[in-house]
Amino acid sequence: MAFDLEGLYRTTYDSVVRFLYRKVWDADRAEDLAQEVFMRALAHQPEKPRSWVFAVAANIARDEARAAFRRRKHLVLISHEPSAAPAANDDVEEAMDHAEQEAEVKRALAMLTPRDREVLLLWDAGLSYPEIAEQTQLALGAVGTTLARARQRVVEAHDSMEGQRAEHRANARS
Amino acid sequence: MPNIARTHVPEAELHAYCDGELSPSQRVEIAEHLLGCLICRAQHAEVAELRARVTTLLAIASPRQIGRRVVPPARRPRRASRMMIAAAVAIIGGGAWLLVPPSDGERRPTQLATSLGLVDFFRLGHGDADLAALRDRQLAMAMRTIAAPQVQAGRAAPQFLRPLLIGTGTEVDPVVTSEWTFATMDDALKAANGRLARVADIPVRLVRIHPSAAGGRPTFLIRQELADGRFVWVVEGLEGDVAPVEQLLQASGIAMSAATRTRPDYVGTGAQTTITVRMVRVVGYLPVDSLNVLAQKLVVR
Repeated sequence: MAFDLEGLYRTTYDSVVRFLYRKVWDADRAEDLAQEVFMRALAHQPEKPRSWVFAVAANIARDEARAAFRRRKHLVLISHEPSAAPAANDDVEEAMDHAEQEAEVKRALAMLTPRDREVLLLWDAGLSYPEIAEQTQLALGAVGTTLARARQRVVEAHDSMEGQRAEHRANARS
Repeated sequence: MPNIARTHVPEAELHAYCDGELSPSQRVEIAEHLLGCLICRAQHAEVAELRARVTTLLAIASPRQIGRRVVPPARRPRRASRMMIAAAVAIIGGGAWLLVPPSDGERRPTQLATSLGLVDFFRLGHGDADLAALRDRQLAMAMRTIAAPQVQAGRAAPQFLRPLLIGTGTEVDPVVTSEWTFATMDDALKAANGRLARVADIPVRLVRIHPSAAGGRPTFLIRQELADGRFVWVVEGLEGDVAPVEQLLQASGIAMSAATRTRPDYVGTGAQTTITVRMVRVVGYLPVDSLNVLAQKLVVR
């Protein structure tokens, strides 16, 4: 089968960026890493490009995390890139709101076991159960169970945070 | 042999069902089970909601914009300067060594570039080294440009109520033979002397009429669509006429509500008067309880 980089790029680029973003939490860095993933794909011309791309993305993200840890430096959360136009007040508020929501999701994801999180992120990236099984070394039958647990836990973790937030608000008011 | 009396569907299997990761036969098995099992239907709804929530949560944890740093296509250069090559190397950075050797990748970059209208680049007479560097740069840019900037909010939440339809079976009216003819609602009402039973408050999608064997009022089959897209049929006809229809329905495995008798119709006058009783049933691929509830909502108009 001919290797179709263009098609692969078109169909998976956004998913790869999102997948990486949820590991490095920096939009620019995620895109840089995604570029590298596709460069490598072009060099290797893998047989199963879709799963290959995510396997490499996972590896790159892992290396990235190790390097960041060595540098003892946290990755910048907020992009340095100045926005093209000065943002209106609404946008700023919306951005803050979004950042807050995102931080909650990030923390909820952090509360999962690495394996559960990986399966969840791979599923959201559009991989099928067999593809997820291959990449995570799980038995095919275990993917559904893992995914069920991961979904349950991430929502529970998120809900508990929401609950805490509501409590804080109530306390602040009284 | 299929396990008919299966216990409740395990949760993980419901996840796989919602994710579309089961084989067709497994799907059918679960769909059938869901039709008859209230507990699993509730569980299925919970899984579906959980799944949708996770998708929403993950969509929040996404870059606000993907592919915003698109490098605009370069203007057609007269020749490749050293600076440009340096720029190309700088752009590709560490990725340059990963590119395909020219023999293998000869056509691909051109394809990419062609798709972007950048083919002119490759026709110019550059030295091999220049060309390779330029091609690399073009490729790097092409790769950034191919995917138009677009942010998707994750997977769209699928319609969970629809999978309960088994194949296309429910789209086809049950027990229909060539003797059944299509009719508009108006025609049907005319044939029924203005009195035709149907379930209140849900739209009628199709009406079929079957002539009466006794030469009386025809039998009607009215297809109505529930809010979730499933169909039910109201079968209405003279007692003697609906009996064979009901037998066929019973044999086909479709569920039927308890029969409702309408008030008798008096046809003719005086000694010629005959009393006819119409039977009405609600039929569908639903639990009988549900059909009986629907039958209580039958109205004659």
